[in-house]
Amino acid sequence: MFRKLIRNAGALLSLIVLMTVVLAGLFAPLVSPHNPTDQQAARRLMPPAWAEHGSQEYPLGTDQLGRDILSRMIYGARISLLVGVAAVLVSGVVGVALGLISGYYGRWLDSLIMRLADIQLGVPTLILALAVVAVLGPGLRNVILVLGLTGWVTYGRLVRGEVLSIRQSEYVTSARALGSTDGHIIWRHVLPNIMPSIIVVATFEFARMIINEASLSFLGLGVTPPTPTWGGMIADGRTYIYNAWWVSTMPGIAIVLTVLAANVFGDWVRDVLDPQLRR
Amino acid sequence: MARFLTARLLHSALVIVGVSFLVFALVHLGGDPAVVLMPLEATPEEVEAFRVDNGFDKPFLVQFEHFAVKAVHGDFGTSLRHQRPAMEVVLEALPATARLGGLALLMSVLFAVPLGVLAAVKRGTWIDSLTNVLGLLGQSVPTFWLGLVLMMLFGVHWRLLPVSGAGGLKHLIMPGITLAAYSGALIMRLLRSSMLEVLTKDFLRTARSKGLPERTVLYKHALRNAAIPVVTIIALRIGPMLGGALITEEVFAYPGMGRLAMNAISNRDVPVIQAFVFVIGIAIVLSNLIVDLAYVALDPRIRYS
Amino acid sequence: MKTRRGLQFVALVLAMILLAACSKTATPKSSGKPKVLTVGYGAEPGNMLPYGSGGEASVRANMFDSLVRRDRDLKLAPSLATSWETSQDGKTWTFHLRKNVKFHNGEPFNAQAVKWTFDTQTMGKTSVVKTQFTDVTEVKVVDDYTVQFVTKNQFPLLLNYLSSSFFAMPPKYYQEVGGDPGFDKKPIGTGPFKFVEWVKNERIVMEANPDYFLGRPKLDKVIFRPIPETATRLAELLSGGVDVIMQVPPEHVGTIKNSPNARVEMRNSVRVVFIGLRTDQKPFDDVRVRRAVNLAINKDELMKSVLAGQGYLTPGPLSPLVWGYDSSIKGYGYDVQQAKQLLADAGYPDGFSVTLETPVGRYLKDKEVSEWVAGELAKIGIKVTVKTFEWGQYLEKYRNHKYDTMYVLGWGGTAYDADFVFSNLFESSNFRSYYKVAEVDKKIAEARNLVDANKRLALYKELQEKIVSDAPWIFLYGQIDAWGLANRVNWSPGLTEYAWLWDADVK
Repeated sequence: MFRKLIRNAGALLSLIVLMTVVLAGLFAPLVSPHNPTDQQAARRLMPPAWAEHGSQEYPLGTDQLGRDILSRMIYGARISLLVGVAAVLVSGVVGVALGLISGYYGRWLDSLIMRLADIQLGVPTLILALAVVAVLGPGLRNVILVLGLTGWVTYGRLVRGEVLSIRQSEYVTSARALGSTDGHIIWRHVLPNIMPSIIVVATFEFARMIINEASLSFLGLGVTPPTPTWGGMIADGRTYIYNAWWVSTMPGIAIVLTVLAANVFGDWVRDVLDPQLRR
Repeated sequence: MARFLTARLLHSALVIVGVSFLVFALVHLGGDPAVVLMPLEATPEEVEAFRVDNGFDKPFLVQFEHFAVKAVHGDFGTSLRHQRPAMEVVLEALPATARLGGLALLMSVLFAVPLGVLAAVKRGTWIDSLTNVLGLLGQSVPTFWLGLVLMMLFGVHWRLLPVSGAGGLKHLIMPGITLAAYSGALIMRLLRSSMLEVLTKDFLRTARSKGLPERTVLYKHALRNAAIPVVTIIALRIGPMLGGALITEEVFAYPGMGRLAMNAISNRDVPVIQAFVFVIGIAIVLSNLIVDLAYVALDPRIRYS
Repeated sequence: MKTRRGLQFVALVLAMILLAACSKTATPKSSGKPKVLTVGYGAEPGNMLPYGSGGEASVRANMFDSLVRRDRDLKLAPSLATSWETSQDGKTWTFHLRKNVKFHNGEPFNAQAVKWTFDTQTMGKTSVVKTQFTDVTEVKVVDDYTVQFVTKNQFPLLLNYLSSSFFAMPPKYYQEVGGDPGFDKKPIGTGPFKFVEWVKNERIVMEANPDYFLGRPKLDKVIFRPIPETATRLAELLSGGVDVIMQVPPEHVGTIKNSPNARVEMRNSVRVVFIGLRTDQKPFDDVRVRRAVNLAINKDELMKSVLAGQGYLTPGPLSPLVWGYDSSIKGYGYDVQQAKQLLADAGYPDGFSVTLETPVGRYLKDKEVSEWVAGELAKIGIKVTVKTFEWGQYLEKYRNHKYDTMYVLGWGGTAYDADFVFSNLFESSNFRSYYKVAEVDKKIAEARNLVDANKRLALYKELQEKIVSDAPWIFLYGQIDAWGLANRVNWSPGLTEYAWLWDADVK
């Protein structure tokens, strides 16, 4: 597998990007050039180093309070990756499990789970978030809770739809006829078939969760300023987009790169693991 | 089928009641309308008087019962902020929202389906890479960023399109693209992925060996089999496109339901929130019903017991 | 075959979209006859009832008039009343009304209309301004063009509140259309512009009132458009879609200044932004600590950087725009050494940890200001955790006396009188105040019911000195509002913070 990885340059590159982001976040105090909360009026909104009036000292420029954007991005990786991965895991595991049950067993379980999903879809996220802030108080855990709660439906409905069809396919019916257990069938025949769709949705949700964390933090639910997060930096830079584009664009690029790397790497892993697709 | 539909309608009614109750409870937990609606300089006595006048001092269940009894008769109460019937306030915003949401959905499907199929068929070519990049941008570019950049280019720089507001079709193009980007990218990537699955299946080989033209094989047999996840996602996007297009509507100052709902929530305008949730609830229930029927059309083996 | 038709359909739709996009795009702003001015503002009113909650001053001011109005320099000027006088005991105010004024529907404006409006609307059940007039015991019709306001004690603020919170409404019309719901659909006033239509969340349209008592407005039509996103307001101004934008944030000022078609005008706002301190608990129960935090903040730099110039120094609790402001008041300078010394004297040589609660997006750059203040206080050893709140949940804390240790608040209002600040924010019986000093309470109550201006001024001077010395707040700044105006607009906003467009014109 390792040799295959080296042969595939794209996958290798994406792995490097992912590792860089993760390691930078982990060792932020060691690698970031500045203190991410160090504000200074004199150097507000400095453009990136390569632009006119830019400075090597602040390679990606400074924000509206004169803080180094690169350092904030490095520190921001910590919470953003944590929120993204945790929220995707929570919503993905819950959603896939409920979707499998719903689609495979059908009947009243299906009705129950899918109508719960409808109810979940009908409740505006903002209302849920405000109630969570009021009752449970702020905290990263609650951000993940809200994101996970609102995210599971997509996986649930997607999985259930595919399972409905797969359940009736020849290989499942024959496996059943041969006396395989439900668990075995789901694990060996159903799950591998729906995995590609789940992965696509998961990468989409990952990006969305990182961005949405900021809107929840605005409500006082999550991260408190001046702690940096990618989503928060993008949101704070929103009104500066026409005169200091880098404030919100730089963290945006970080998200794009991370998601790109995750996509490419994910594709590669799937190709290696799924012999069906190899030609 | 008739029994399925009857049961389904009953369940849907329960869903609407469930959503109403849940939202009522959550809003109740999240804060008091009197606190928000009264001016900053209002005295505690005035705030209390407002609370009593509007029944917010009553126990939660009594308030809900009061609301539910009236709602059953189609009366969602009077908006606290607008001083008009809450349902009227919501329905006023519905046409504009339906226009934008409908166009965005259409745009995302028209964009995503051909490209998604093409990307799967031409796997590994430059077309695939191109769709990959488009999909990537669609999923990770923040909505407001896309909206404001489009606006700067087409509205201010080239002056091709009106910057914001509502009016004709012209007003819908930029918000439509902005709203469609995420859904379009998701549908496209999802379709590519499930097409790749389907393309390896035996029945396609059978179809080809029967001498059917490639296009028929692709679009009739393969696409049909790959469509289930895509149809699921399209239906799932209907709710957010109607009620959750907040950022797009704010950026383009578009008079839709997302902005209305946001204002209602900020103002704790309970009657409007409830009317909004009711309308969105119906849209969600209907779209998911249609999807369940569509599954059967796509794969006749599917049965709901 | 089927798929080809599908593709054709796709192509057709795309072509239609493109065609629609390109046709009529180059329509220039019609240089024809009607003079239309479009205003872009943040949020529209909830309804058209002048006494309802969520009224937006700009819309209301152009359709309705009061007895007295604030002119562009905030001086009280005649409006529906041409003159007024106070009785010897200071408890009866007589207003002489303007003759031959008609409501937009032709109904005559007279003393009966004033009495009816005041009794049933200003003091009506749903009115949000009625507490301003609790001192008024009766409105008497003397003759068709004379009314008297009788107050229970001396009430120096009557004119202030009338100018900001009284709007003459037509009694007959109101009853004909069936009260609030009908009036909301087509509001009728005496103002310079008449209501035409309201497309919710999209635009409010008004046309010139040719019979306006000051003369016909120069504009034919005025459109108010709610545009919540500041960057969109900017884009609309630059593209010529709207002519006037309100609430321009600092980061857009330069862009407008650099544009060949638009300009910026700055107006000091009466809104003072401060950080309240819980003076009733540790560590801010010690005046030395409160003075220390005041000294630790470089306000000049704060205003220059975070606010990019959209703030002016307020040494004490009052804006200079408020009646009663004393210009001899000295505030706190910037002196980190002294701040550290004071903290050490108070027994906190190593500082302490507190939270600073702030709304987001309510006041100009509120979150950034809070972050900045936290950074400044860190320099004297105070660890500040900034907590952001959605406005509704922030109000919950505000109204229930539940702020943690430090909180950001802005206080403006339309009374333009020191009493509005002192009574609401420093009187110990008030829920907003964490500061309780008997001597201050006494002076506030005394000044409230004095018509003698000089005596009041003297009391407010003492109060300002005392408050600054006791420092129950971190005194920060007054906001400066920026307006963006297209060059074709021949008008400049006054200090009133709303757009009164009677004298506006466009090229």
